[in-house]
Amino acid sequence: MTFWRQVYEVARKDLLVESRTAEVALMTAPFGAAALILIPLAIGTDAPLLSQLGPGLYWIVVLLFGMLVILRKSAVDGQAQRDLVRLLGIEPAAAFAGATAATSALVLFFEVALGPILIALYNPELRGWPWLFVILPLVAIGMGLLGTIASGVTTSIGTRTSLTPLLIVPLSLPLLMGATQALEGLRLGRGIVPWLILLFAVDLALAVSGVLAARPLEEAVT
Amino acid sequence: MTIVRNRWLEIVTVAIIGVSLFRSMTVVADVTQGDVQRIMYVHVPSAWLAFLAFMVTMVGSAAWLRTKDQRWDRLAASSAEIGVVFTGLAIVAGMIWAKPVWGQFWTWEPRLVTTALLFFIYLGYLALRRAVIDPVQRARRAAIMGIVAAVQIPIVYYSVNWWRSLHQPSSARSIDTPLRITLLLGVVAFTFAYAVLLRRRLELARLEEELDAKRFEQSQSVAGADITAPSLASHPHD
Amino acid sequence: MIDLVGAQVSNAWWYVTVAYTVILGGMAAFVGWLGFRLRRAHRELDQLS
Repeated sequence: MTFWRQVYEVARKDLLVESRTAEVALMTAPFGAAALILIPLAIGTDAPLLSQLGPGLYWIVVLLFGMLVILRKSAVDGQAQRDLVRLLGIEPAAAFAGATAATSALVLFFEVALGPILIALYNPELRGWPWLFVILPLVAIGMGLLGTIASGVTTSIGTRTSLTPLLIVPLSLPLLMGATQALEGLRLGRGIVPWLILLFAVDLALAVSGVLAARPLEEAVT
Repeated sequence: MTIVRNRWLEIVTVAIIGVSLFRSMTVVADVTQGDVQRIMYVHVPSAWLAFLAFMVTMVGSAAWLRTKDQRWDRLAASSAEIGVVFTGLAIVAGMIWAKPVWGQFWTWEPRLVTTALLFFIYLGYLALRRAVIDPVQRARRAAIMGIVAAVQIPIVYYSVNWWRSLHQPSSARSIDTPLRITLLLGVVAFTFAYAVLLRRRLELARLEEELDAKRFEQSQSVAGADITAPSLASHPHD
Repeated sequence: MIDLVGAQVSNAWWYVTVAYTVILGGMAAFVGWLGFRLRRAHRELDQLS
């Protein structure tokens, strides 16, 4: 099997398992949506205020509630699955890339699912919206990479559900800055290229670290 | 002989810290900020110590991955713990300085935000270490996390830096010579303090590793003895 | 640059005292905690061997 075929198979396996539990679609996404409904009740339902704060709140919900996408059950391989992946001769880097692809796809799904709710409830300005086709995937990939790396180092730890977010959230700041400032730039009609470059650079740095860490991590889980 | 040398480093450190503190209190007050500026003589060295400690953690992590020598892991872990403590101290001292000078404890300035995040990043690193029991797995996972964190930190800093910057320019350049000397003295004193603390913390890490190994060994021998000779062999010292 | 609102604050020494107490107290607490853990480790090692 070629490298990319391995990546594809690992990602497909993760998404297949996810499709059976539907954890992201039926649990995490509604949870995030419920949060978007609660927030205005706490900070005030003033329309111009919500329109202004909406995008920022959206990214906070994506980032924090997205932790549940990263921590979902189908992201955790049991010993049997790990043994099987190993016996099949999947390269560690391919396993990492595959798991990242699956998580990124689910984070992207989560982002897209929350989008209409944000638009309906907060009425944000949507100037330059086609750029979202670039921004949303870049953030999703960044979170997928961070999540897969952090999940790798917290595998089979009893407190992983608490530990993983602590490892991820401080490091995800550049993703938050890039995403919020790109949207802000669009709203004000300013250039957003530096922020896209930032998001791209974060993804690249994480991808390189993750691929390099994949083999040592593989040794760690056995 | 080692004991004598140990003591020497500690005595020298205490002396330098003493001189540094005396000078911080007696040096002429800053023209613009007045006496409040004296906080800088401990705030800047604390922050310097923390950054130094995290750099050592990164080096230790990388060296462990190359050599798999547990000594590098102990270095990374010990340094990270000292770094977290001094990051916390630097942040609190900085806030106490900011209150009278800026009129508020906190501003969303890149260095502040990055330092606060550093605190949480390495708190997570220490939490990860606590959560893994097997020494080799712990070393491996911590090393990976240590390196990933170190790669991300500059990006964290630049992302906030792009966003906004209103901190006063780096203090060492814009102040008078006697004040600068005092600041440098503080940095030297805290570097010595780091060396002393690191050596003690490394000793603790070595002892704990030894302790874990001994406990494991004993639990093994007791389990075996329970089958072969239950009451006699299992408690030789009773 | 932000305004230096407290260019010459009258109670400057109060802030200085608090800051130095925090830093030196924090260092002392860390040294004490380290010493405690070292003694405990030594004691437990002695008990085990």
